[in-house]
Order: sequence, then C-alpha cells, then structure tokens
Amino acid sequence: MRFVGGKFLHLIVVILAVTALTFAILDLLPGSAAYAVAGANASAHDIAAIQEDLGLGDPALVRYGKWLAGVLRGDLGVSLVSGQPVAQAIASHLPATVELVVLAQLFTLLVAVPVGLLSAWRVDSRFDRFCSTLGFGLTSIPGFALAMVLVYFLALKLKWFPAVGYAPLSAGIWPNLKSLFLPAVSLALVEWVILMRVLRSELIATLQEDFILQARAKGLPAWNILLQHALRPSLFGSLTVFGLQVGNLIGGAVIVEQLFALPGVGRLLLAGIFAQDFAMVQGCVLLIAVAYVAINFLVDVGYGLLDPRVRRGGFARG
Amino acid sequence: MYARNDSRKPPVWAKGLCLLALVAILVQGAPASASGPVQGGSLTVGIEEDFVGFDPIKARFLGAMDRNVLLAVEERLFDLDEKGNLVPELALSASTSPDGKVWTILLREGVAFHDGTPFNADAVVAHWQRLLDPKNRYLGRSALEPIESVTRADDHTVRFTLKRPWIHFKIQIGSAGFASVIPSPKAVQEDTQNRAPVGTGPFVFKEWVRNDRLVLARNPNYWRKGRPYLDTVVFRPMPDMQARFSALQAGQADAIVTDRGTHILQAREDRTLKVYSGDYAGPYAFLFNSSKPPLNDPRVRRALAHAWNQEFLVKADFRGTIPVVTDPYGGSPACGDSGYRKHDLAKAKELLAEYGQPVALELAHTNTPRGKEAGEIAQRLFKEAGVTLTLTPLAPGEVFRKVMNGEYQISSWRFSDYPDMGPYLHESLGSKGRVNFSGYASPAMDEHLLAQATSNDAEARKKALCGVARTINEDAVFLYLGGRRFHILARTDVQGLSATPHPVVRVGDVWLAGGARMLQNAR
Repeated sequence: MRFVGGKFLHLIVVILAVTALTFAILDLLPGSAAYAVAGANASAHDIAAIQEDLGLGDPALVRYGKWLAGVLRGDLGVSLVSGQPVAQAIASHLPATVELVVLAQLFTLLVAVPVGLLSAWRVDSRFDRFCSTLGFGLTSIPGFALAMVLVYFLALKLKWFPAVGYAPLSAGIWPNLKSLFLPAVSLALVEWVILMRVLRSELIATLQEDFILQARAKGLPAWNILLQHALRPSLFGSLTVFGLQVGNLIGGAVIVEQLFALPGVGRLLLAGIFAQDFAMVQGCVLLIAVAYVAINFLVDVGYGLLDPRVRRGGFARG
Repeated sequence: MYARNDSRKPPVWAKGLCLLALVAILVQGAPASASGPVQGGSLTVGIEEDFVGFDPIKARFLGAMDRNVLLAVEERLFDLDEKGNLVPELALSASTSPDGKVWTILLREGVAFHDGTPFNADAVVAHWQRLLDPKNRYLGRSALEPIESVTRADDHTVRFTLKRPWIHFKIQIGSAGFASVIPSPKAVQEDTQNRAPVGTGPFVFKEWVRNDRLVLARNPNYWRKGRPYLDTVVFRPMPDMQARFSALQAGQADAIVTDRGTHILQAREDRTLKVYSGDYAGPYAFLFNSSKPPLNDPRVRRALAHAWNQEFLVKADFRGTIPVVTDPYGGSPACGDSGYRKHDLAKAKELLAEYGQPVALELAHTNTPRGKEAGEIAQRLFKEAGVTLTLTPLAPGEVFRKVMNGEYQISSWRFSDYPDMGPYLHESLGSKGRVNFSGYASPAMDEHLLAQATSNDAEARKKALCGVARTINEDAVFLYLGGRRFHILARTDVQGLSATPHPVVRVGDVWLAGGARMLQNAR
C-alpha cells in the first residue's frame, strides 16, 4: 500500500513538473497559436480577436492554472486549432499508438531474448560476432531509411503488406495486424539490438556465477541452465530498458507514424507543437507522463517478481 | 496432300468462336471513357495534410485540402466557367438592378440538405447574415465589405444589396471559398458543421478520424439525377510525400495530390498512372520588407531581382514541374512577360554599386525542406552578386507573425489564390491595403489597383491588372519562386478527373472504369 501511495505521489510530482516545463517552453517560444490559427490573410485586428477568443491574452501562469483546474475536473480542454476536445483527439489516436508499441516490443522480445541467450552462451563465437555486427549496423541506419527499404520490398514489390495506413481492429484482426506489421518491424529492428546487448552482458556476468558452475557440474543441458537458472537473475537491466523503450515509443514514434500515415499520438503531439496548440501538447504530454510513471510502476512490480528480496524491502534490508 | 491441307483448316464453328472472342476482347479492351460513367465503387485519395474544418467561423481559414470535402458535401449558388460567367448550381439565375446595387437571385426548388432541412432563401440568408455579422468575427468579412445586406424576397428568392456597384460580386458568390458554399442552417445552429459538414452536395459526410481518414458516402437523394457515380470516397492524409506515392503505387490510394517533381515525372513514365495538372494564381514568393533599409531602396530590391534565378529554382527544386511566372495570375489574365527582371548578375552588381553600401540581409523561411532549399539557392545566388544572406528557419506560424508585424527583411511567402486576384492584390499591395505586410507603397500601383477595382469593362480591367503585374516587376516588390501548379496523380481506371481552377479532386465527377470496385476503404 505504501509502495502504491509512493508511486502515486511520484506521479503527481512528475505530472506537475513535466506539464509546467512544457507550458513554459511553449510560452517562451516566439509566436503564438493565433498566427497559426488565423492563416496568412489575417490582419492585426483579426489576430487580436483570435488571441482574445482563445484566451491567449492572460498571463502564462493564469493559463496554466486554468488548464490544471480543468484537468482536475477531468477536462483537458479543446484544441486551439481544430476546436476538438483534446481528450477525444487523444482517445482516437491512442489505439494506433498502443497497438504499435505492443507489436513493436513483441517483435523486439522475440528477437532480442533468443539472440541474447545464444550470444551470451557462446561469447565471441561466429554467431555472437555476426549478431553484434548486424545489430550495430541496424542501429547506425536511421529508422526511416529502414522503413523505406521495408516498404519498397515488402509492400511495393511483393505486395505482402500495405505501404501506408492503419486499419483499426474493427476492420478485422488480420487487416489490423497487416497494417501495423511494417511500422512495428521498423521500430523493432532498432530496439532489439539495445535490449539484446543489455541482456547479453548481464547473462555473461550471471554465467560466471558459482551456481551456474554447479549446474554445469551437474551436467544440466544448456537450455536448462540458460532458461531455468541464468535468465531470471539477468533480466533486471533488460526490464528497465524495456520499460524505457515502451514509454519512449508512446510519444516518440513520430517518424514511423508519419512515414506510414498512422494516426498516432506522436503525430498529434508534433502537429500541436508546430501550431503552438498548447492545449493539445499539454494533453499529449500528460498522457506520456502518466504512461511513463505507470510503466515504471509495472517495472518495479516486475523487479519484485524477479527477485523476492525486492518484495521484502530491497537488497539492503534483505 | 490437298486433303491434308484441308484438314489443317479450322472448322467453321472454330472461326465463329474466334470471331466472338475477338469481339469480346475488343469490347473489354475498349477505352473505358468511351463506355461512359459507371456507377459504384470506392475512391481513396491521398492528401498532403489533414483538414482544418468546414465551418467558416470555427475553422477561421480554408485549409489547403479543405476544398476537396467542401465542394463534395456542400454547393454554391453558382459555379464560374473559364470566362468568369455564372453557371447555375443551387441557384437558377441572377439579375442586377439598373444601378448595379441590388442582385436578385432565384433559387432552385425541391433541394434538401443531407439532414432533411429544405434548401431555401432562409438557409441562404442565415448563412450570409452569419458571415456579415461583426460579432461572429468571420476572418474573410473585410472582403465582403461592399455587401450591405442579404434578405429574403420570397421562399426561393434572395436579394443581395450592395453599398456600391461591385464588379467582384459574381466572383465572390461563385468562387470555391467558405462564403460561397451554403451549409445546413440546422448543422450550424447545432454547432456540428465544423467537424461534420452538412450540405446539399453529391456526397454525405460519414466519418472523420483526424490524421487517418475522412469518409464520404453517395447522396442517394442528390438533385442531379444519376450523380454522383461513386459509392464512397475516402480521403487519407499522408504527410510524407514518399509514403503518399508508395500508397498510389501499391494500389492503396487511387489518386494523390503531390508537388514532388520526381514523383510527377515518374508517374508520367508509368503506364498505370495518369497526371492531371492545372495552373492557378497566387505564386510562391520571397517577400521584401520595403518599409525598412536597405530594402526600402528600389535599387537594392531590383538588384536582388536580377541576382535571383527563378528558372534555376524551378528546375533544381521542382524538376521543372511548376511554371516560371512573371505575374501573379496563373495565366488569367495573360499579361506576357510584364517587364520581368531576368537573371543578370552584371546588372545586379551595377545596381548595388549605385546603392554604394554593403548589403547584408536575413531571410525568414519556413522550416520545411522546400523552404530550406529555396533559401540555400537564394543565399548562393545573392552571394555571387555580393549580398550576404542569413537564413532563419521558422515554424509557419512564426513566419506569419514576423511578417504581419513587419519584423523581417525577406520572408518566404505564399500569396493566396483566387480566381480573380484583383481584390486580394488591392488589399496586399495597395498603400492602404488591409494585409499589405510588405510596407510597399506606390502611387502607380495604387492607380492600377483602383482602376481594376472600379472598371466594369473587361479589357480595361485586364489592362489595369497587367499594370499591377508590370509595377510588381518594375519595383521588384517581391521575388517569384515559381507559379502554382497542382498535380493529381491517379490510376488510369480513375475517370472523370479534370484540371480545375483549384487543387481539388472533384470527386462528384469521378467514376471508376471497368465496373464498380468493391469497397476498399478498409484496405
């Protein structure tokens, strides 16, 4: 209970800090949403009228206070540009993002865990060297370039997947998965390398431990040693990285969302920043902050599942 | 031998079959357009950006893509033909009083909005009164200043009373803008028009998921019998140009709107694709701030005009897919070369020497690849003439702010496009113009602008408009960065597309050749 209470307090502090900082940055930027909203043919008089309409005449602190009061009432406000309720806009963009993140991380795990295990078991083998080289190669190529190569071969040439667009779940599971396959693979091609490297290095350290030597001495097969004995104590670092990757992708998959024309939160946030639509940006930032804290909470719970000492109060007291 | 030869001859029935097959092939292979419009099917259009909104007051300005939906869902009283004549749409006729101050418009009967509200004089009056009411702060209201009132004469007759005879009245009600399309008064009253537009047009609004799709469905009660041909139209915003073209190639989009030169050239070579292009007014430009030194000196502006090389930009940046222009009209009226200042480095250096001081300038440009490319070309060309140019990339909103407040020296700018540029140029180049952001003022320019605004004679008006174009070049008010040409790239089975005066896919005219395709919006 104390653990949950502490996390909730953490959430409040993070949200206040992040939203206040975002608000300050947006306010410090030159320009105003009124200019983006008015278009090129508005006169100074029109701009002044729009500033008033949008409530942009108030001091920044007052506007932030009003926004915060709205959030406490469950009202995220309306977009300054489109007039659409921010909560509604986020709700309509969230499914694509959540599905993309889940699928990308699933692909990441499917590749990173087996490759990490095999690489750590046979350190400096041909397989290990090949995977390391491939991984470094993939991380050094920009994600958008990989995405374009995938589109060219798998969508344009082989016509296995759609080149762009998002089919919601309501259109059927298969069209939905097909529409997200290439974007998720584009993200996973970079993400798996980081996860694999962390897992590999932790596994190498674990495999030097005495209890592994004992397991080997007992003549246990390799898969048993790796999966039953070595993997679990080697997952702490990977779990942290995994949590950070998920949090990062919620608002950070902008390029992939643009390239594949996916209606995700990243695109919403980017459009909001360009138009200085602070209501929309704040709404997206709030979502990302909550997601980060929630994921970190789950990661902390995950530590407890991996090691009972964490559940009992941490290593120091355990 | 003879008999053997005979046995190789095909029997009569086989000849008949061959003939039938040939006829069938010919019929199937005949050009689709020859078989005429076909009912049914779904069309997916890839567009550059999402829509802004469809209510003139809530949306505030017409987004680059908004006309596509506006003209499919709503309708105008009149359309305009190439010569600027009114072509009846929701109205039947328009007549003017002898003093030119009252226009009486007869409306079509038996038409209803998609929500069942009848289309009548009340709907037209409600729309116009809403725009003209200062309390509603419609941003285009100043352009409607000559209209004193819009009143109902009877159920299907409206009267526009003007403060003075106004030559642009016909253009105002016939242009494809916010003011001219008539929305459902019920939808406006219920405040749903901006995100779920209701009109009388060939298509009914179904769904808009921002950044993903906007879906229209055939209006089964459309007053033009037999139209539209398509069952469904799906607009999909695809901001990335490569992604849009890939969608077309992969068959996920039937038509796309693009300005990427390489894709346009590639589509011209592709036998499965067809390119539709049309020129329109309102050029891309580098706007000079003529109110501050050194650009308040015409010699410096003229020197920059000679240092600039529009042809090079059009070739390098657009692969020659947009026109080099010498006036802002997009070909109507055609004014010839209008004294355009061609690239002449010696002349540029001569003018700068005459000015006698070093010139260092800042260019505020949009932080887009296009803005950056144009800025870098200007930087290199101006350097050859001895002018230092610093580039400042900015978000579009910030470029607007700087320009509107006169906080710039040179700025990338896109002039708005209107079928008749006269009223807009009057406001943006006139010394007392409402949106004159360049600070430029010239008695000669004012004279031409006044002449085009007050003349009722077509030839005299053309002369005045061409005078405006000549003065722009003479005084180097801004630099042309190429004319506006829109390109729609479509698959060859998409029929009925045409070059319109706006970058609009007129989906009301489109049909799919080879029979109706099944709904593809879930592709």
